[in-house]
Amino acid sequence: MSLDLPDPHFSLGEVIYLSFANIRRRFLRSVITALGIILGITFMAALLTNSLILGLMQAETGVEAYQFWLVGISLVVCFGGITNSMLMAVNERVKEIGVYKCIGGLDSHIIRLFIVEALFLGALGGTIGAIIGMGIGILINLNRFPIEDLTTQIASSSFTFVLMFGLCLFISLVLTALATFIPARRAANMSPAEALRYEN
Amino acid sequence: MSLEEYVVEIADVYKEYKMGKVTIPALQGISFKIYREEYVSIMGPSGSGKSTLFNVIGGLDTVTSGEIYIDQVDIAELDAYELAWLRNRKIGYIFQTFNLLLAFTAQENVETPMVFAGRPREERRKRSREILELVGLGDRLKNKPGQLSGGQQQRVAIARALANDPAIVLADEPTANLDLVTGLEIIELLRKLNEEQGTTIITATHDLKMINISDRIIWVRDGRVDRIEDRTDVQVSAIS
Repeated sequence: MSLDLPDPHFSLGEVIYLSFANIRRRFLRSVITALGIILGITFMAALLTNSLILGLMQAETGVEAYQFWLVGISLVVCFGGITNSMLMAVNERVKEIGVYKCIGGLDSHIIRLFIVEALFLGALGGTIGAIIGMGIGILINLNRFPIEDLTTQIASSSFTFVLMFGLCLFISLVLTALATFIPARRAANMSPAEALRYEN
Repeated sequence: MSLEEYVVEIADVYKEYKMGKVTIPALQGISFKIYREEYVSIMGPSGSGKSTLFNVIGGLDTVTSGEIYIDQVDIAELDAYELAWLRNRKIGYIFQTFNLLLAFTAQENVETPMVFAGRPREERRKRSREILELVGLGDRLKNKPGQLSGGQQQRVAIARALANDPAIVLADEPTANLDLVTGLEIIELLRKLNEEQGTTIITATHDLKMINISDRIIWVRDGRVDRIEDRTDVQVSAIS
């Protein structure tokens, strides 16, 4: 059976417009979701920075041995925090996905809407979290080392810090996108009737 | 009216829900045909299968067995994209709980089906304004659902259902969440759309106010068609 239909047409401009309307309307919820991301990334960035500085200063403070574990734990916390925030955020909107499907939205339309929204929150949360986290990581080392030594070391390996910032942002974007894509696709794969009936 | 032509044909439809190990039969061999431009009410007590019937006619849910034709097209044979197209262009939905998008204004809600249809922004603006004026909400374009009464929200939902000029409007208990007067207004609006725009209207309802304006009433009981009556028959039987 072929109905000989034209190609679906859903421009990026429309996607971005609709996504931002959703963020604006659900502003408080979006802030809370973003906070979840910020918290995870801050924790990870702070521990990474601390570890990096300890390595740079070749300090013998006795905590180096634990650095490996701390960074590992920070990754787990970050992963848990972000996935949890995003899973919750999509899960409470399954009914909305049902409405989109009823009025003719394709699965791919709906997933694009949610991904753009998630990527925006991920970029925002990742940036803020990385800045705060790296700040904290430097601050906690201020009374451990002479400030001149600290600034020289940081300045000489500034590229490593930029890389670390990039890594934090990257992890944030990948985790938010993934933790949105999976439940959004699951919801979009439901029949519209099923999605509309869905209760949280 | 071109009464020769059927817009909906349902043949021997069964639908079962699986709840763990228990199978619940919701529809048990339903068949009927609906003419183009007809106003049909599907009536029956709750649990009779009205809503399930609404969902399967509208392509919102799959059937266990049987055939459903919308405009001579067997919807079981459509792929996901064709089904989305059908929901977008051929059928408009109205729900008991309105199901509007809360983030958007009334006008944006009406525009969304047109966005999915790929219509240009200017055309959407113009068309959404026209339909909202038609349903009597010309002064509420910029209000969000939260700022509208139940009756007004249902009017927005009706406007959204009409956005892409569908052949069929399906309404599931459209008056159940509304008070008596507002419910009557919504029923009259649906009747007006049916008469003036020639839209086929199918409502699943247990609102007896619908009887007076329906062309035919399909009574459903225990997942089967109990009887099908013309309006004149119902009124005669009510009088005698």
